[in-house]
Amino acid sequence: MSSNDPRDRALEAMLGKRGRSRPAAADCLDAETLAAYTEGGLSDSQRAEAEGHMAGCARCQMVMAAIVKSAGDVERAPVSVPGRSWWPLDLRWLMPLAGAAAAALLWMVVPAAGPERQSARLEDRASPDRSKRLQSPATVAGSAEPSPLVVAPAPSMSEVPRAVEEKAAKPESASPLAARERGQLERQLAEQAERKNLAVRRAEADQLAKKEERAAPVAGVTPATPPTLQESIVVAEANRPPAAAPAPAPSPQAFGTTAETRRSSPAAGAQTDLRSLDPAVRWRLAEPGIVERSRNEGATWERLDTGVRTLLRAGHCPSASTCWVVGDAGVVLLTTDAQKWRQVTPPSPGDLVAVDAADAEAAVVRAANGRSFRTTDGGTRWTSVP
Amino acid sequence: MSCVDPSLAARLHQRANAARWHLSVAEFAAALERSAAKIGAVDGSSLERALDGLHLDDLALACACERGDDAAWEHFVREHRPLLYRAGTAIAGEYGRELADSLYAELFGLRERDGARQSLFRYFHGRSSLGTWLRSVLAQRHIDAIRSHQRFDPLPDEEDPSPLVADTAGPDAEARRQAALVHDALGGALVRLPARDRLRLAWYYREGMTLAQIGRLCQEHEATVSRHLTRTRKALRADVEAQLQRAGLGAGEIDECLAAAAVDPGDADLSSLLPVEDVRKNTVDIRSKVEERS
Repeated sequence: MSSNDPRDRALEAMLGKRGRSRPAAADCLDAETLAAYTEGGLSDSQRAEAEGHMAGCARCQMVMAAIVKSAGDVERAPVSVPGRSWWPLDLRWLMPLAGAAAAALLWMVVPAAGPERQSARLEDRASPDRSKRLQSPATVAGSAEPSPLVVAPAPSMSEVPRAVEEKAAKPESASPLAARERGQLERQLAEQAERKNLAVRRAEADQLAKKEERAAPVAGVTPATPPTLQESIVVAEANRPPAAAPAPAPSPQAFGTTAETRRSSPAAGAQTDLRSLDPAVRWRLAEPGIVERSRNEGATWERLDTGVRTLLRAGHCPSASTCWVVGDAGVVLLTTDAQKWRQVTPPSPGDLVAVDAADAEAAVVRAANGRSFRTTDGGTRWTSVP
Repeated sequence: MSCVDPSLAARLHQRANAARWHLSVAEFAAALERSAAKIGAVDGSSLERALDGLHLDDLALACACERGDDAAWEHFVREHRPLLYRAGTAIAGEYGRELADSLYAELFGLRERDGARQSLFRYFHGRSSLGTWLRSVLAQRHIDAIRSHQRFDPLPDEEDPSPLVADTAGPDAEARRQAALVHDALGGALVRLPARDRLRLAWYYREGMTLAQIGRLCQEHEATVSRHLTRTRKALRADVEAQLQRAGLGAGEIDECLAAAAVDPGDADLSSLLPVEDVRKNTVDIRSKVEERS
């Protein structure tokens, strides 16, 4: 669109100039009108009216441009936010892993490439009857029917995921065994992808925890900046295993200091570290109602009975003796001496999933429904916050 | 008196599946009435057509969230909050998270009036989808923040110790005078353009939108947008040149003026020069200004 003519270029430079801004006019288009304009939801007269305003309003032009430019990013950009499962975000893992798993499965299913086998396979292609005698491990164990994977030519690595997807998308063949094998294959792929994903997340969390541990002494008395409540929830959500498929139980150290919340019942014996602002003291959740504290880098742990048996989900400990813990059914617990726990008046009867505390007086808790509540008087009164 | 017929309200209530948010027909009818008032639809057939065209499911969700229904909030948190954060990041970058959080707080309704929570949802009438409305509100907040920040930016320091002398003599003063001439001529040419042509120019040259993005807004093919822009730019240039010629400038002087304007396009943006209403009434008299300045 740009012209090389000097006069045109001069005009373009002027057209592209943005001057000092003026306040929004009282008759500026409201957000809904702008949104409806973007979606083509205005009548002709409303549209003309909106354009008449926008043509002379730099603010509305800018807003409209921001709406339009963000549209593509909103559709594309991945983001971890409360309430969003991580599964849709990690489909990128599925493709290479699916390919690798399918290749491994094919390697197991397809007979070893010896001279006899190769000749047999060549004969198989020429003689479909003989192929029925070659059976996959699955068919050996079960039915006498051959797997269609045995006679199919092995696809390349890049083709495997697509082939698997195509097979899954096709209508069920006449052989129930083939369908069962496909189902098994898909389950294996999903499980492998999930295990890989979880392992990578744990490794990342471990690295982060180690980094923070190393950084804390170097920085002197100031520990690394603790994650905000929002970040904590994001991490907790990201670490939440999918409901649809089983996942290995998380190890205590797996999530490091970032795994201060848990959304589902941990396996027996599993502990979840709580966020502690005092790097010399570690806190963790043990079985329901029990919090443990260590003052020697985790060599030994004091067992602190909170007196409740509700599932505790998260905690934040702003000092060596002060700790806030939240859990199901609106449980909010506070200790200021690492001995006695006080059950604070709950801000919400629902499950609480995260807490961020500054000291024994000020804390923000977050409910499972996304609402947050703040107290500045040790939990006597709560106010809603975003 | 209710302008929404109860049977129509019941039908739209069912279509919106508003019962899942524990929204009664009467509550939904009240929301529909507010939407109808916003649209300006009053009589039977146009009202029904207008209400049928609303994003009813989003309207029901917004009403229920405004009312504080837990199920509706859970749905909003699950389905729309991620979009809110993505939109915040897309619009405002690093600041987007804070922007989205702030909006979320207002949606939740932290302020109370007469004992009732004042949620931002009350401004949603279903004329657009909820997602686009959220994006639009975020964009407004972001742009307002930018513009507000710009207003409070200090003016650039005057480096010339004797500005009065510099304003009235020397090559700089002449260049500024020439740039001002072009600036006025361009302002005059712009007010004579149709609103949509001005919008295309502004979106393309100032906002940096692509032809495809402008085409989506104007409901035109991008090739059509390109043709319109080329035509408008030619018309604009011809108008500016004609004004400068009428002011007594020769071809060489026009070139000099435009070159000066390219170096110093002026302080104010051109759309700000244009009144929102009756733009054609305020045509700049370039001739008188040239005479005045020379």
